[in-house]
Amino acid sequence: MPTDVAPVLDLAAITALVPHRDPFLFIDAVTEYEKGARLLAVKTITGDEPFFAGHFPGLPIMPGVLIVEAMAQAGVVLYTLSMDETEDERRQTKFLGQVEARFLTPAYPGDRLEIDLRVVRLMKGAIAVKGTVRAGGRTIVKAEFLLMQPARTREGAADVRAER
Amino acid sequence: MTRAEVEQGVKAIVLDILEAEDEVKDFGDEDDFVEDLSMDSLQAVSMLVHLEKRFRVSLPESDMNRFRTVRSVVDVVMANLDSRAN
Repeated sequence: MPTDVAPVLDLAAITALVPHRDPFLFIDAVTEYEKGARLLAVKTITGDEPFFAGHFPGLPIMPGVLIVEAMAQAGVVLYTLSMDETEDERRQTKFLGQVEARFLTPAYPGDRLEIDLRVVRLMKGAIAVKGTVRAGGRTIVKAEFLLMQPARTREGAADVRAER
Repeated sequence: MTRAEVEQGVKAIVLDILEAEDEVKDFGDEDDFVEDLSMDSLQAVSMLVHLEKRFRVSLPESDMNRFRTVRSVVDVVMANLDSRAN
């Protein structure tokens, strides 16, 4: 994929849509988006991420669960944009409800993760997503997951940004 | 697909979804998902997605309101399979 294509969403635009922040924001940009259908996000693994200090000393591998987390964060963007969420709605936390993932090859520093998501199901308060993460022609993770906004947080109990 | 086959598939999905709940060991066709089995909204959405995948049907979200018991889910799935066959 050419890297000089202007992203659909840059990092600043992403942080306006999701509550996650460094060091727990795992997408750098959204490069393709089709409302209610699909989204392609990217994350370049620099090697400076704090988790590499422990995972593993002398053998840096991005933890698979964090790659799934990156997929989930991209899923939140896909949901938020597809539902035309207002700023107030975006503040309401979405949670991973269910994940089925296959970890196929490791991701290393220098890899540019391409997170390719497709909507399986979209409804008010929930999105089911199927996705593949690739890097340099390798398939890293294949996963299906469900993101939910539980009714109790829809009522405003978990406004993470407001709690700061 | 026969009703018995659909019922078996629905029960497997419900059990899979509820297996995190320690108290859910067994349930009957008439047990209420919410009142008897403490199913939450997340699990209900999960059930909808799994039903669509397993039975290759398309279920509107409004059908979720009819998901009260195994029997009612089987009714919804059977109706969808029938309408697809016609």
